[in-house]
Amino acid sequence: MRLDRFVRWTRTDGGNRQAQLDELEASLRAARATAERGGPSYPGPSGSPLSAFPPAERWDDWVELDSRSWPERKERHYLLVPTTCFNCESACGLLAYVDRETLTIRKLEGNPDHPGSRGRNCAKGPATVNQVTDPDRVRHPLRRVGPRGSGKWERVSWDEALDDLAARIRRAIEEDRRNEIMVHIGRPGEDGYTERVLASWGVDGHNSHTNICSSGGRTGYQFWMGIDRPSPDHAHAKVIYLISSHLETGHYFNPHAQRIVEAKANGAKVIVLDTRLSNTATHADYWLSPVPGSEAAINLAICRHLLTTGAYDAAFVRRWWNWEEYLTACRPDLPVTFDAFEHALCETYDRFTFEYASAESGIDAATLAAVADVVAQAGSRFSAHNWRSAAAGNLGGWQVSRTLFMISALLGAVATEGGTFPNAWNKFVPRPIHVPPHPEVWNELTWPLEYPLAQNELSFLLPQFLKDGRGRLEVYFTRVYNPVWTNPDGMSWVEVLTDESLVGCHAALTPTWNETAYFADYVLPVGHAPERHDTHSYEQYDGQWIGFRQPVLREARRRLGENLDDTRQANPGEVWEENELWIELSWRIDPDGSLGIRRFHESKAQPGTKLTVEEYYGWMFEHSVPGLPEAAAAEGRTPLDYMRRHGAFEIAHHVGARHEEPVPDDELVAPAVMGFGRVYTQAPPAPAANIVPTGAPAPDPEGRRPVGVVVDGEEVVRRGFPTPSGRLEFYSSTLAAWGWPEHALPGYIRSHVHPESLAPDEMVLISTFRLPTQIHTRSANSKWLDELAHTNPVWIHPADAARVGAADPGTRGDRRPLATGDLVRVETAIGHFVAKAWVTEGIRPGVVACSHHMGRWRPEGQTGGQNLAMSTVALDHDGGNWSMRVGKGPQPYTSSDPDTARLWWTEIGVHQNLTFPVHPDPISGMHCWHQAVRVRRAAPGDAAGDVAVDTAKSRAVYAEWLAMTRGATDVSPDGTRRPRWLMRPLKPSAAASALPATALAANAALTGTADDEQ
Amino acid sequence: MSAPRSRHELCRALAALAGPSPDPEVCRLLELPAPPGPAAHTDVFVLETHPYASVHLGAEGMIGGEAGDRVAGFWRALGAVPPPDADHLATLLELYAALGQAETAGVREPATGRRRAALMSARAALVWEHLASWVPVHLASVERVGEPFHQAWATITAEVLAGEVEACAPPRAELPTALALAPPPLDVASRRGCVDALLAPVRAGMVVTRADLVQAGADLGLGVRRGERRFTLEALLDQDASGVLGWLSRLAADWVELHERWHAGPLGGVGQWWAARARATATILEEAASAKAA
Repeated sequence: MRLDRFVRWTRTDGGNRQAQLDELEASLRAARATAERGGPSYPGPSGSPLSAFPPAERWDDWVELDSRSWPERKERHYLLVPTTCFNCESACGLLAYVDRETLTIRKLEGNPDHPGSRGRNCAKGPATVNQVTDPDRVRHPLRRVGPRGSGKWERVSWDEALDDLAARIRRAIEEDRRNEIMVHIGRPGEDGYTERVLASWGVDGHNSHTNICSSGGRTGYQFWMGIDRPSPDHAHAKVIYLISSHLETGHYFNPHAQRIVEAKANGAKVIVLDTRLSNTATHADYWLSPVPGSEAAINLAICRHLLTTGAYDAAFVRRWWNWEEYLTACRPDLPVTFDAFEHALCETYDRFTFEYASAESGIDAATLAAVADVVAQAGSRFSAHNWRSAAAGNLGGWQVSRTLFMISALLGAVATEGGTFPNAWNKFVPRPIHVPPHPEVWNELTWPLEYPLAQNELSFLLPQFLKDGRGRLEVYFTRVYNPVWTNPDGMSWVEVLTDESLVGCHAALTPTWNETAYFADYVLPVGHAPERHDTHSYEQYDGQWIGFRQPVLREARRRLGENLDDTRQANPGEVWEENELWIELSWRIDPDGSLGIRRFHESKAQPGTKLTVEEYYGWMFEHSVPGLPEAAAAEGRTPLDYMRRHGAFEIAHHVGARHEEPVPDDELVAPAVMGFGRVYTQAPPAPAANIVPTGAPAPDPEGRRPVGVVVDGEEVVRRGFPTPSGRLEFYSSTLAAWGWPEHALPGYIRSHVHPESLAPDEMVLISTFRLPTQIHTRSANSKWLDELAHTNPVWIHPADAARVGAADPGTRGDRRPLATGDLVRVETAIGHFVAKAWVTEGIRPGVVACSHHMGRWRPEGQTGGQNLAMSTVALDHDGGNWSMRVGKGPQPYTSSDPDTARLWWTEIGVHQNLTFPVHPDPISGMHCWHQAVRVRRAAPGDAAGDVAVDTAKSRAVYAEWLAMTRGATDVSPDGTRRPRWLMRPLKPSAAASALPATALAANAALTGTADDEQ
Repeated sequence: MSAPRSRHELCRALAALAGPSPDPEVCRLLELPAPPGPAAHTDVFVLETHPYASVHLGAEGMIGGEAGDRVAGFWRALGAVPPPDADHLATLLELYAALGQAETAGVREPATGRRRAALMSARAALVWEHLASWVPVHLASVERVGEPFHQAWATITAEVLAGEVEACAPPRAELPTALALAPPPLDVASRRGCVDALLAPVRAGMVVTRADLVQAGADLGLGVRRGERRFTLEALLDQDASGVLGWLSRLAADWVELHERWHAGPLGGVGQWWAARARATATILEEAASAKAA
């Protein structure tokens, strides 16, 4: 029978025969592409390998057998619609399987068209379907009934809620109370959309979670390269160096993890610094478990090794470090020559011997030397990453990332294959249809004078600032954010959120119930990943891509011929997307356009009408994404349709060493070469399609903008880095000028939990790590993720378990060592929490560790909340003395999801963050998470999850740390609040950025300029 | 310079299917009959036919020799060390696929400029000199001895080869070197020389398989002694030289038709050369048979 075909072929004309052969060639190529992704074949109707993906040309009608109909072979037909995961910041691609019959989402899998995640996801991506179908989710706008926090709610319409909020906001704007409007962002996932909304309102009300997250890490990178994130090219590295408790295997960066695995398969060595045996550490060739806070000392010992052995890239250092500026500013005793610099460099770091680092870190010198040798062999294929972990845990943690980048910079492993790139070169933020100007006001509740160098908003100090009387909030949005639970000192948050004189109206924009929403006036349901529009880009390799998040049911119905004009029509209940919500709210704030707000939310195609998401994204994809219109045209689609179809687009692959790119002649209008080769131009900046944030060095005194840098005396002007010098800043003139000259170079700052700072019976508590399958708040309603991980015991080394057991006889009086499962009290400076112990050698002696994510709670009487992983608690207080005692834990229950009746776990851990006082780093502003604690056996009557806190003590700790600052009033060298070149989500105008009059006077007096003015 | 079409995946798949364990998934994609198993593969590609350029183009009809060196030289000209079985059909198809893929989708990106031109030139030389010169003859013999799977495989391989010749090595006046410089045709002056030539396809213009000899014995009522072909053939000649030569003459005449069928289109010139050789063999053997009979 088969032969018939070939016989037929031989009888057909040549052209037809060749066409048939081409068809066979095409099917073989497709099969190879599929096979190269690996995996066994799926025997069902799709006939494709299990680990592969439905080919895009079949996404409109993909057929699979219905597993629940087994043994009947019942086919289900799906529309496959791409979107972007919203659970962490990685923005991995998802593919929603929309049942054509029921128009419901049956599952979410990886999107093979996504350049970053490449079709692979961690557990959190597919679990999005749990969040969508969660029987306890918030489906309709709710308004509190009774006092705030009393737990009673009534359903209201979106119109009622938005009218109230809009009226309050409009009144605040009209009465010049713009700083009383604030949106506090948790999971951004939208590359600046909300920032631009706030800019359109003319308010400096953007608040982020970043200072409890990554500010420390960012600060170290920013001072080096003017860009605050690294983009390691792990896949091509020879050596991968991670200072990370969770980064590559947990909350973030499945895209990084898969590339690290690829590199390992190619022989790369992985070095992990983590006090705790993390998932990442288990994959390491070298796991170093240092004393918490000593990481920078280790980094500098490696730097010293590179310097003393000559294993560094002197040509790169000479070319790109600002060594001339350093010598001029700091070593006038030396000639400005590279030889002199090398000598000074060796001299500066000479004290960081392996023995010194060993004494600080507790890791033997020989091991450190062995690791340094491995690093030295990496050459320019050295990829490194530090994000939270040590940078987020310690006073001076920002020097951890800074010293880490110094290793990269010594090796010349910057923007090289297998090296580390500035993230802005591997990220693309398309210019949107409207870009409102930055505001004319400066909000001191988020950018206080005490922290002029803070990398991000002092978000976690908001309760303290409100208590200080520094201001109040008329409208406070928590947007996909749960500060009561995520931030330290949560009870202080409860205190201010329940004080209507401090917070006039609190609206919680959230997909799920959370601890902060209990203390809201409105709980407004916004969508999960398949229920909203956003664009998102992330640095994950040497390339640039954008992902498109879209409400998949709306898109599915569009494909079926139904055009919806409001995402609520497709989402569950009245769940809305934020784009439409903000547009609608902005119109209600400024219905007649008189405030100048509405114009930023109007259609360009039809002026005077409301901007739609179709026009917003259609314009963006048509005008701001290079190559996308062409790629779309090749498929006969519009750019918007291309993104709806594929969900992602790769703009560039192999961006390379952008700092080496010559500046085109047309950008060099009347160029001026200033000190150390910085080049300025009178040419205005070319309009950029990519508006990714970077540092913005100041113009020269003539008003010319910095455009590049001359290196090595070359004729050509190179693009350089967005730092004041245009080079990598080994020496930070900013730190020197703004009151911290002693930290102008990468260095080692002893942590607040350095062993010398601890009492003999104190230990260090590490709380910065996460469970790999959980997200801060929103995973608690995900049954699959809860089943995987639902508690957070206290990791304790057997030696400590024995010591604690011996010191504290407990109720049995036998002084036996603590055993796994025993209850312990962990006492912090402001209270204690109770949790179960997990005795393990996976933690360093003298250190305990407890993951966050866990210990979700709902006060008794609260009708909101979810049931999968929340305990009902008795929340009581006497003034600032708070106690939270766990009552009923999760239990099986009946709902629209039969799985909730199968809930089997009863422990959900402890909300330890409540017991942490605030620890703002005086330079980066980062909350330094590590805690000095005492660990004891639990007291009689204690239950796992119990918490006690004294907020008066937390005020005292806040005051202690505030005293460490050097405020702008005292140190500003130029009368501004903050160095203008540093990154900031919203950059108030120059006038608003000036020190206030009273502060200016004080500043003038301090700096001696007052006399001049007199 | 526009790239000629490259069916490299098809070539790679056909090469893989010439192995002992054809991938059922590849067979499915090519809509081939189910492969019959390793024993059938041995029968077709080890015992009956021999998919080597040197076997088909060498004066001795054996692996290696000058014909083998010619192929090895091609590998070296590409800067590669000739692999084992450098002139095996599957190896050459793999090489052809690799060259084609390098033109259109190299390791990182498609080749450009001079490199691309060099790749195209190498591919054209390979298909004309080292594949077109003998592969259709081999495929014809596979069709004669193989099962439906092998027959279908041979047919599609021939089609692909014709297509590739047309795409990147258009028909030309001159023959492939191996044919232009081919050893002399069959000579019956000595029995040993005659047997040598009969078992060397390039001299006889045909492939005499074990199955052919078994069939000859059956047709002529002769005993077929088991052994390699030379042994079997000589045993048949010992029993009835005239009858065997006459039978082989008719086989050669059949091969004239086979060459015409398997060398269609752009391979016509090559086919004519092979047909002429077979025709000459038929004539010589017929005359020899008559002489023996007399």
